Amino acid sequence: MAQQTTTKTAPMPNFIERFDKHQRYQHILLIVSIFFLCLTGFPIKYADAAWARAIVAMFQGFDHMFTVHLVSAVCMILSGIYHIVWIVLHFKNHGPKWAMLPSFKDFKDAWHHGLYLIGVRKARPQYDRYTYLEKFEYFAVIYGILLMGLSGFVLWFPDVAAWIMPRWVIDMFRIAHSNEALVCLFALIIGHFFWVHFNPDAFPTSSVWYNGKISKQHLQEEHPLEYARLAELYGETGDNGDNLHAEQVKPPKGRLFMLVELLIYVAFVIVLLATFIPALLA
Amino acid sequence: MEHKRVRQGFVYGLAGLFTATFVALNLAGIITLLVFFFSPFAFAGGGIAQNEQANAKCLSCHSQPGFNVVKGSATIDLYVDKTQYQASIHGTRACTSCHSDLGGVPHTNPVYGQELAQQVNQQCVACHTDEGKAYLSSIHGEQLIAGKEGAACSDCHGKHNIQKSSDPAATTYRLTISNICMNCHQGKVAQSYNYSFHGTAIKLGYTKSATCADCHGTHAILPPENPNSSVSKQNEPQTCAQCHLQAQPNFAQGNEHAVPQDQQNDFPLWIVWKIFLGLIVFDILKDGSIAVFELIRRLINTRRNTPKS
Repeated sequence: MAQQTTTKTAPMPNFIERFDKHQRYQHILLIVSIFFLCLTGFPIKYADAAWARAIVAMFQGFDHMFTVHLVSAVCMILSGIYHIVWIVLHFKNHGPKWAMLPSFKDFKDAWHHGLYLIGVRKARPQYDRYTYLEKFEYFAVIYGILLMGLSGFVLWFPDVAAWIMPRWVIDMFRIAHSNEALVCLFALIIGHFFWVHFNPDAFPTSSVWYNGKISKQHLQEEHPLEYARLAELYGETGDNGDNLHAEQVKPPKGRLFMLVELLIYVAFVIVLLATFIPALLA
Repeated sequence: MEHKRVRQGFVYGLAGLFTATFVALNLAGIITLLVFFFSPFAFAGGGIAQNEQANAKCLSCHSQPGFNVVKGSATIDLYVDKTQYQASIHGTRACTSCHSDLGGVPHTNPVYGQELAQQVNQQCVACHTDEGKAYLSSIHGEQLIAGKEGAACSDCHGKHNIQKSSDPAATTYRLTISNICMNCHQGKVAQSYNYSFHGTAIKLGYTKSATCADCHGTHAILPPENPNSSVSKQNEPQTCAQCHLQAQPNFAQGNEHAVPQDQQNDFPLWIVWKIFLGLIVFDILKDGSIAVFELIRRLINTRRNTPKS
């Protein structure tokens, strides 16, 4: 949101910086660490599976695989520390920004979005800089890093943890660590990946994570309130679609693509529910 | 001049004598050591070659696959894998050094099964005295002597396939020893070990992870109720500290053999498990249905926007 200081005379650029360099670095550090954490962690959860042994073999043994897990875990925590340091410095230099904080509007948006999805309401909610889902995801990541980090350290140094907690609490942390990993994984591949990769408007990937920029068109579609504010700042009318440079934007995918994706998603969700609901009720 | 050469010759001679003595003494030492090292093998079984000759007689029948005897309703397999036996740590010993009751052919009143294991055990502990002493005082040894189904030496170490525990082919090798325990110790105790990080890491080939034997001991295994047991509540922290640097009293505050599925006995684990399963299902329902309905909406919207032609 640094671009808001631009003078009124300059025209609104076609691509607007959504995340600065440091935010992108934090995110890439998180991507890499979580990729390796999943790759080296799930073979431990599903040790009896053939693919688990294949991954262990790929790492030339459990020692190496586990070392990669620990190093990745430290990287994940570093990304969190980086984020905190970045917030502090950013607030100091540019003033505090609270766009990520939940508000009453988010609950209204969630309700509205639900009604839109089942066809009761015709229009999407008017989102500001962050949608209610993005805010939920942000705080889910914070919760995830805290829980996985804390439980991970307890499992890494059980003899230190035993200074303050009995054995059975350490065991509880292990169950939490092992199952929260699945919560993270599903939130990523079903939730997050849908919005930034498989969403027909974004496929194969949104560009925000690598160059930080969002097209004017997408900004207006996905964050109309933020767009309106920016447009006003640039002296453009908030709802003027003619100003958009549609040729700069990837065209959304066709109906066949959406249909195939829909079938894959439905099948995936059914398989997952058929796996986990019986376990929950057992 | 002459005098100097004589003196030089004397010095050289002396040096040569010293060297020769040194070499001779060393050689004698090495030979003595070798003789002492090999003598037990040489004398114990009457010589390797002799043993092989004697064993050939046994193996002429017992190395034939399918060789068996019918005792009542049971068919007892009497086959011995010759190559495996000869490659085993006892492979050069006479069959009769363990099967001491079997002199002639046909065997007079041979015993089978548990009875045979008990009998062979006596031969094991005759040579392996330290291990034998520990074993006989253990719960396994105690039960075997009492005629119950206690584990005999062969139940863990194998019979004709015995190897040193450092050998990956040994039944008592780190990565496989727990499977041996689980031949008898089944149910929750096995399930929980397989579920634990210790068991998981072993399954995935991590030799530093704890096996059953690392906590429970090997030959001197005692039940946890016995205060001298390595896994009694008093000794548990010390046992954990073999690997986990500090002996924390808190290590004993909980069940080692716990599984989250056991609601009755491991409620803390069960409730955490259920909470997170709930979170997982919530996750799938929330993100899954949003993605599915978003796609449906987009499909409907594109149909509406596509002009009919």
